[in-house]
Amino acid sequence: MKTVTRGIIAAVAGLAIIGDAFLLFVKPHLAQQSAASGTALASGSTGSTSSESNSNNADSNSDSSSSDTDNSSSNNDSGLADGTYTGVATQNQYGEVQLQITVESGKITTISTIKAPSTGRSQQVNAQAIPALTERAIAAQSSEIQFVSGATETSTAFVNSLQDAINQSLNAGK
Amino acid sequence: MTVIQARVIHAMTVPFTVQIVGNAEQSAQLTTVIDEVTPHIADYLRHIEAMFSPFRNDSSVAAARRGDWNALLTQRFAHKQTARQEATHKQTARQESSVLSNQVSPNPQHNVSHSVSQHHTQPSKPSMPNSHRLQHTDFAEIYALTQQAKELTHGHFDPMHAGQYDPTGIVKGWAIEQAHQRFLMPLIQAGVCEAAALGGGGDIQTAVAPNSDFTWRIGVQDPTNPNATLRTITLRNGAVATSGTSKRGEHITRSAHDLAQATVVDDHLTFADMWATAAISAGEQTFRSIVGANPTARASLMAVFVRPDGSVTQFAPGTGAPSTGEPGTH
Repeated sequence: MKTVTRGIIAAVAGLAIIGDAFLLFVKPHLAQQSAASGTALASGSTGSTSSESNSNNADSNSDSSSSDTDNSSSNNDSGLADGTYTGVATQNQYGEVQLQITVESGKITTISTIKAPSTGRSQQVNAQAIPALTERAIAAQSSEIQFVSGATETSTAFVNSLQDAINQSLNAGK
Repeated sequence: MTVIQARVIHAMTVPFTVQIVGNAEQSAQLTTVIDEVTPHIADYLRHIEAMFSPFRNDSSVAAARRGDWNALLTQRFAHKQTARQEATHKQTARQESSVLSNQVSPNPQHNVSHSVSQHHTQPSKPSMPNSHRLQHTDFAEIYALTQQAKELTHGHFDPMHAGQYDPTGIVKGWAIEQAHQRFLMPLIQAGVCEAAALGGGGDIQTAVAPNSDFTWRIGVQDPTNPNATLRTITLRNGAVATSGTSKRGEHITRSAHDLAQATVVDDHLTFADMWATAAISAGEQTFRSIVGANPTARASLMAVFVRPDGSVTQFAPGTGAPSTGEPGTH
């Protein structure tokens, strides 16, 4: 029984090291601060490859992370099952983007965009957008406005700004 | 007679202005309603700020910069959304639907039928071992949007800044659009007010009830004189965003310097903001050709550009020739 457990621990540690190497050398763009993130990624160990009865990732974490360099501040108790995650499609008038995320050893190792924005869908959306467009116009400046669109509005300079003055004037019922 | 109530929220280092519109008889009710809704919007904006600020060590963006992207799968705002609010989401609006690639017919009815619980708790897909359906998270949505933005703008909108993930350029506009949709649209739907808008840091999302004749008027700020405006944009349902050389929190890598300020009108603030940023980065001519080549953008965008010499030009590709005598893009 002991040798079995030892073997499992060795296998888990080995997988973590392989994962670490993969992340460090193959996917460096996912880990900009490679030194810190490399260890963080490796220390997130695996619940799903363990054949022990632990149902919780966190339980089996301590074994293998101690065999790695250090347990950094990032969260290892993610409880993420290994595998490939797909499905969130962000849909809008410009198309659709779908993410595919691979989890290894409880950590996200790759993020890819599997569906690029398409212009095919947008045609039907355009038809709906047209009525709204006819209501839009750009005209010479007017004194009667509700909002100011600019690149300089900040909280520190808000008091006595144009938007502040407009808001106060609106609240005063003018 | 129309009355407008305004409230201000400070979050993400910028002031946000909430405005709701009604008739004079509704005045007292409008005050009650805006005082009720404003704290909810403030909470939401601060939650988004906490999740996405690259400057806060405990944010999901900061974690991603350390190599921990788990928020893509776990982090989301526990927002209680009613079925009615969900039903107000237009088909063109956005995300929310969690539609898988093998699903056809994105018609409005189909979309509306997706309940909140569905997109918040997708069960794991049992058919393939080790294959899971990704849960809907705000962090994942922003990540996807930044990837889409980069592609749409031919790289002029870039979520990487100095080698690090930085979605700041899209988060504020997206957050305003989300907050407007979640908290202000239901007021219009319920007939509590006839129009409602939310602006922050110069970016605005507006809406008007179909039976109201109210029109929003938005002044384009003069970059050299913050108390003056150069043009007035009128719209009912839509968004206006402005980028310039001085916009806070935006890290724009510029490949041209022929625009001092770009103001863009689009249906949704996320994209108005994205296009305004891209215009500053790309410069006027490149921006015109990128937009001209995109059927959706060509049909819906309008823009006001301020050049470094102070001259102002307009851009409305969907309507043919621009109104200031500028030659057309195409």
